[in-house]
Amino acid sequence: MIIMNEKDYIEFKLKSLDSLIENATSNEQKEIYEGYKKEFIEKHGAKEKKQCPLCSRTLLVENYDDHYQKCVEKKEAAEKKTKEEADRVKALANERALEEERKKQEEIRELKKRLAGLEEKKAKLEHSKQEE
Amino acid sequence: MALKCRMRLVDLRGNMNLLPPNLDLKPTQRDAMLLYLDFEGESTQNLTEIDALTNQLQVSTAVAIEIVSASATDKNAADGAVRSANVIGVGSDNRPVNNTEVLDAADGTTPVTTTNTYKDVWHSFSNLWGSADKDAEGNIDIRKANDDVMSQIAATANEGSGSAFMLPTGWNAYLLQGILEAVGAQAADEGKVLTIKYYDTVDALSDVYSINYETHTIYGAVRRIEFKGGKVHAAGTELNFFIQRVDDGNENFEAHLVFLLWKT
Repeated sequence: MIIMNEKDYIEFKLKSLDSLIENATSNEQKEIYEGYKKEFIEKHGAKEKKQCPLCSRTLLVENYDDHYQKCVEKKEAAEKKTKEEADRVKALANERALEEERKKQEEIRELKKRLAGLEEKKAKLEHSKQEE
Repeated sequence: MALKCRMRLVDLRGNMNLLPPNLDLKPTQRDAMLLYLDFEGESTQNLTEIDALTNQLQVSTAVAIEIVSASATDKNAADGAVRSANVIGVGSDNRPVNNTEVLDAADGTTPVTTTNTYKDVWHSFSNLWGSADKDAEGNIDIRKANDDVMSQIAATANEGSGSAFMLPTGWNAYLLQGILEAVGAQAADEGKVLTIKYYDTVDALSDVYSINYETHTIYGAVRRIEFKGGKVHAAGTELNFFIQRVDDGNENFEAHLVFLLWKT
């Protein structure tokens, strides 16, 4: 009877039933539409599908829970890795800053030492000039 | 000949002068309607319901339904065949209604979800045509959103199925006039019985109903009878119509019933 092919028809009907459920004006009406959807699925042997909110993939309802769990774990692992990487970069930057500070302090110490040596030399020269 | 029913609902608001003069409706009962049922077909050995709906809706909260045809030519376009159907049913406010439900504009085989919502559906018939044909090209289904067909307008016809009706909350009914007559020959030992069954719910949960009925018979030389209702039917009563022959030959008949429906 339907000119649309079976797959397109089922998709069309499920969308239409979902829209009725979403726009139901009362809980009772929503329950009736949900019952219709269940009956439609049973009648057409259709596989109900659900979209994963994390990766946007569309999956059969029977596979959804496993996929979602894996997707959550994957997301957590990715977040953990990103955080570790950020921490490592931060630690490296800190280390680099500390090293630069240490080098700077050493340079200052060295310069001060050289300055002290020069001042000593200067004092000695002045002293020998006075003796002459 | 298949058993067929033609049903028409006439809203009397503002037209109370259409009522028979012997009916003295009080001003508070001025929301009234006439329901015309015209039956025809062949009476058979077994008691058979006349042109029953395939499925009934009968829900407590009004829901959207669908209209769809088996032919792409039935469509809401000037070059289509049937463009829309009149659905007789019960609206969200418990009022019996005539609603026009329009087929898809490009291809009648695409189901259209109605914006009107219904608590019940009683009957349907084509009410607008394009240039392609003046009757349905394919079976036109008035169905629930789960694809269960309720009323069907068969291909090449214009009248959909459905003769029974359940009185909605707040509405009563009374049979103003009934006619049963033989079509064609009716021998001395031949006849037909029209049975009107009244189903009243006693306990819906356990599916218990009280069933009352009245029968009207024509036989032999009595080819035509006229009758009136014996009682006022209250909200919740479902009226169903059956035919049966009283002898061994299938015979044609016609019956015409006019019910007054009014808001209590």
